[in-house]
Amino acid sequence: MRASLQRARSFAARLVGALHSRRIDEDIDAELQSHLEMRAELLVARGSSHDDALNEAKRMFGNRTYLKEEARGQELLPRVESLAQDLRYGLRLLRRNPGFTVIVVLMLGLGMGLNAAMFSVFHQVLLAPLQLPHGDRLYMVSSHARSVGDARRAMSGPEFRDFRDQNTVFTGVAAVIPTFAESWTGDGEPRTVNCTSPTQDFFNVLGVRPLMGRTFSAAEYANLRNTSLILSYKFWKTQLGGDPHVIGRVINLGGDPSTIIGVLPPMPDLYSDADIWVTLSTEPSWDFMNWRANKFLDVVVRLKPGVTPQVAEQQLTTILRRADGEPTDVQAQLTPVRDFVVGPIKRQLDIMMMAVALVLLVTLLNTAAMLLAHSIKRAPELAVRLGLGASRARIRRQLLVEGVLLSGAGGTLGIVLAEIVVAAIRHYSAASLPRMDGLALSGPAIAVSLGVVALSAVIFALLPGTLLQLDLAAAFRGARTQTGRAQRPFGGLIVAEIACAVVLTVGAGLLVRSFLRIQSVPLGYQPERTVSAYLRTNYDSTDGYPFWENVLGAAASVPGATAAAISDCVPSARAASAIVRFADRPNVPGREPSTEGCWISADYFKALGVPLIRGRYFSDHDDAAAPPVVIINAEAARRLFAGENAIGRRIAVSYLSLGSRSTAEPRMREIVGVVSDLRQRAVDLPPGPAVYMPYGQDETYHVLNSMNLYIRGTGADPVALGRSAREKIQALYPNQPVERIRGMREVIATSIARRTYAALAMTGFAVLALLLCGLGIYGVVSYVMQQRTREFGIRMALGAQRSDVLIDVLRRGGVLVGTGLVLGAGLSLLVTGELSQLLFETGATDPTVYLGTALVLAATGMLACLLPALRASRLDPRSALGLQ
Amino acid sequence: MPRNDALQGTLDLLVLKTLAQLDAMHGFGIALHIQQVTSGALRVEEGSLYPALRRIEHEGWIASEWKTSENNRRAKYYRLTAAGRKQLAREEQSWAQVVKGVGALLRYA
Repeated sequence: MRASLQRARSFAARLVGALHSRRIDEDIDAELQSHLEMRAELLVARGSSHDDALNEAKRMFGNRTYLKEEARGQELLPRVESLAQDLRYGLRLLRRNPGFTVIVVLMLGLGMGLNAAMFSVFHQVLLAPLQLPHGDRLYMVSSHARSVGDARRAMSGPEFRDFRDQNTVFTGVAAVIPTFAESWTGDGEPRTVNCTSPTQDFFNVLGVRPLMGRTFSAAEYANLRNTSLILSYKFWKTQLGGDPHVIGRVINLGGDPSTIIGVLPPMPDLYSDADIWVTLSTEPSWDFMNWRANKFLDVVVRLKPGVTPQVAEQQLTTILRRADGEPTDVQAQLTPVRDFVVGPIKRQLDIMMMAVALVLLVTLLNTAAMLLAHSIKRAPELAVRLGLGASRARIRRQLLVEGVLLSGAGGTLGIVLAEIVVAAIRHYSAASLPRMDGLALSGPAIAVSLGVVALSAVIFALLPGTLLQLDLAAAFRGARTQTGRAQRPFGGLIVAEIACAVVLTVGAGLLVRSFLRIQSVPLGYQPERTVSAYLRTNYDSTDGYPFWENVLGAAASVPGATAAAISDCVPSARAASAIVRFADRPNVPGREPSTEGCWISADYFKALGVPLIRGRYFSDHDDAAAPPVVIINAEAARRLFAGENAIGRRIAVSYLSLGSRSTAEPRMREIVGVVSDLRQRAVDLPPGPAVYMPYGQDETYHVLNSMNLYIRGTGADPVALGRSAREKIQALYPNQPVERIRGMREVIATSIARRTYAALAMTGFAVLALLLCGLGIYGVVSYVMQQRTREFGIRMALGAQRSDVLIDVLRRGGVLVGTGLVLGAGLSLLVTGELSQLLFETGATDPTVYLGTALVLAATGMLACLLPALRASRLDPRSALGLQ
Repeated sequence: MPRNDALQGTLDLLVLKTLAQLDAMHGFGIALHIQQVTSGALRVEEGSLYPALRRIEHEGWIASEWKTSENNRRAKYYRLTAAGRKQLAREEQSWAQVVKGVGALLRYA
C-alpha cells in the first residue's frame, strides 16, 4: 500500500516533470551550479585564485551537458520524452555505422519483401476462399479406370444426364464445355474469343447472379439455335469498355448476330478465361452430347448438406457402371473445386513458399549474427552507461528502440519491395497461374511481415539484453577476453545459415539442370525459322476446303516462305488423342493402343523440318476423294508394328478431339509414310506413338473449324512472315481473324514457362542466400578475428608463423562450413523429393548438383573466412598487443 | 573512465549511509563527507553522484528541498525517508555478507 502510494507519487512527479521539463533543466542547472561554486570556494580557501578554482571545479565535475541529460532521464516520464531521446540516440548510432545499418536494413527488407509477396500469391491462389457462396460444397466430377490406364477422364453428355437424373446426393448438377473458340467480327479487327458453354442449372449450382441483365431462360435452353449470350466481367470491361447500355446490344459471334442478355460479376475461381458464355442444351441436344465415348465435359455438382463426398462418389460409381461399354472397374471421383483449379500448380507454389521462407530464415539468422557481433562490440559502452546510473530497463528500452528502428526500416523497405514484386508477378505470370485476378499484397501477408518485424525487433533487443545479465565488471572485460564464449553462438548461426543455403542451392541446381536439359532436348523438328498462327472459322462442311486451300496459297505466296501448312496440333504444345485399330489382327475392345493424333496438310512436315524415314509425305492429291491414308511416326512403327515395315499396312483411327462428332466406324487407312519422332504434346514429354492424317479426309469436317497455320521461311524473323501472311489472308477474307502469330521458339518457351519461372526464381533465391551467407560469415569471422587480435599477437610474438594463424582461421571456418554442408545436404535429401514434379531427366539426388552445391558453398564460405584471416595474419604482433 | 568502478554499484549504499549520518546534506557535502570519512580511499565521482541522487530520490528513498546553507548559499538538501532507512538496512546487510564472503576467501587464500 505504502509502496504503491510511493510509486504513484513518483509517477506523478515524473508526469509533472515531463510537463515542465524546462523547470527541471533549471533545477538541475541550479544544483550543479551550486555544487561548482561550493567546490570552487573550497579550492579558494586552500589558496587557489578565483578563476583557477572555478576552472578546476568544472574539470573535476566532467561533462555537464551529458550528465544533465542523464540526470534528467531519471525525471521524465519515459514514454513521453526519453522515447524521443532514445530515438535520437538510436538514429545517431545507426548513422555512425552506415555499413552495418544499410546491410541489416537491406537484408531484412529483401527477406521480408520476398516473403510478403510470395505469401500474397500463395494466399491468393491456394488459401483465399472461393468467391462462390458455400464454395466448399462444390465439386468437379471425373472418372478413372485402372483397366484403361487410370488417367483422369472427363464426362460425356449421357453420363451428365445420368448423374443429373439419378442422383440423390446433390442439390444441383451442371455440365460445362470448358472452352472453345469463336470468331468475333463486325467490331473492328476480327478476333477470336474464348467461349464457355454451361447447361441450364450451372449458374444456380455455382450461386452466381448476373451483374446486369439476366442468365439464360428455359426457353433459350430449349432452342438449339439460341443466339443470346452472356458476357464475362473481364470481356465487358476490356473489350466493350464497360458499356452500361450493353444489354440488348448485338454482336457477331461465329458469323451469327447474337444478343447480349447479361453481364456476369468477376469469377476469378472457375473459367476465369471465359469471354463469352453461350448455352449448352441437353433437351434437345446436339449429337455430340449423345455419345458416351465423347468425354469432354466438366461436370460440377453441389453436395447436399450432410452428404460426404465419399457417399456421393459411391453413388456416381454405381450410376457409371450401369452403362454399357464402360470399363467394369470405372470409379467416379469428386474433386473440390479449389483443388480442381489450383491442383496443377499447388506443388510448385508450396515449393516457392518453402524456398522464400528459407530465404527469410537465412536473413534472420544473418541479422542475428550481425547484431550479436555489433552488440558485443558495444558492451563496454553499455557498461559505462550502467555505471553512470542508467537502469537496466532503460538500456533495454534503448536497445529495443534500436531494434525497432532497424526492423521498422527493414519492414518498410520490405513492404515497398513486396508491392513491386507483386506488381511484377501480376504483370508477368497472371496467365500462367489460376485465380490471379485481383492479386494484391494481402492483409495476411502484411500481418505476417509485421509479425516478423515485431519478432525480430524483440530478438534484436533481447540479444544484447542477455549480455546485460553479466555483471558490470564482466561486461567491461567481456568484449576483450570472452572470445571463446562469444564465438559459440556464432558457430550455430553460421552452420544453420549454410544449411539453409545448401537446401536452396541444391533446389536451384536441380531446377536449372532440368531447365538446361529441356533446352537441349531433341525436339524432332526445327523451330527456328517457322512461325505459327491460329485461325478460327465458321466452316464445318466441304465449304471449308476452298477456304483453307486459299489460306495455304496466300501463306505460301508470302515472299521468303518456303513451305506453308495447317494442322489442328501445335508442336510441343498440343495434340489430340486417337485410338488405333488394325486390319490384320484382332482388336480387343477397350485395349486398343492409344496414340497422339493430328490432322495436317501436305507440307506440315516440311514446314516444321521433320525428316521422312520411309515411304512418302502427303500430297495435295490425298483429299476427300482419294483412298484414305495415314502417316505414323517412328515410335508408332516400333510399338504398333514391332519395327517391321509398316508401309502398306492398314489401320483405322478413332480421333478423340474435343467434341468429335462421329459415331460411325472409322475407315481403314493405308500407312504411306513413317516420319521421325517429334515432341508433339509437350517439350518435357517424350514423343509417344503418333498418327497424322490429311485434313481433307476428316469425314466429320470438324477439323475445318479451326486450325493452326505454319509457315517456314528463309529469313531470320519468322514473325514478320506471319504478319505478311495475315495481310494476304485478310485481303481475301476481311473478317477472318489471324491470331497468336508466334515463332515456334516462342511457342516452346511458353510451353515451359512455368519451369522457366521456377528455375529463375529458385536461382534468384539461392544466389540471395549465398550472398547473405557470404556476408554473414565474413562479418562474423571479421568480428571474431578482431576479438582474437591479442591472442594472435601473443602467438606471433611467441614465434607462430603468419601461415599458422591463417590455417587456424581457415580450419575453424572449414569446420563450420563443413558442418553446415553436411547438415544442409541431409536436409536437401529429405526435401528435394518434393521437387520431382518439376524435374526433367534429373534425379532428385543428382550427384553433380550436390557436388556443385558443395563446391559453391565451400568456396563462398572459405572466401568469406579468408579475407578477414588474411588481414589478421598481416598483423604486426606489437601493435596487436598494443591494442589491448 | 571513472576510478574505483567496482564500487559504483555501492554508490547507493554510500549515499544512504551518509544521509543517515548527516541528517540533511547537499550533493557536494555528500561527496566531501564520503571522501573525508574514508580518508580519501573512496572518492565519489561527482559526475555520477547527481544521476544517482535523482534515481534514489525516485525510488523514494530520499527527499530533497532547496535551502540556504550555513555559508548563506542556496543548495538542494537531501534527507533520508522512512523507506530509505529500510533500504539502507537491507543494503548494509547484503554488503556485510559480501565482505564476510570476500574476507573468508582472502583468509583461505
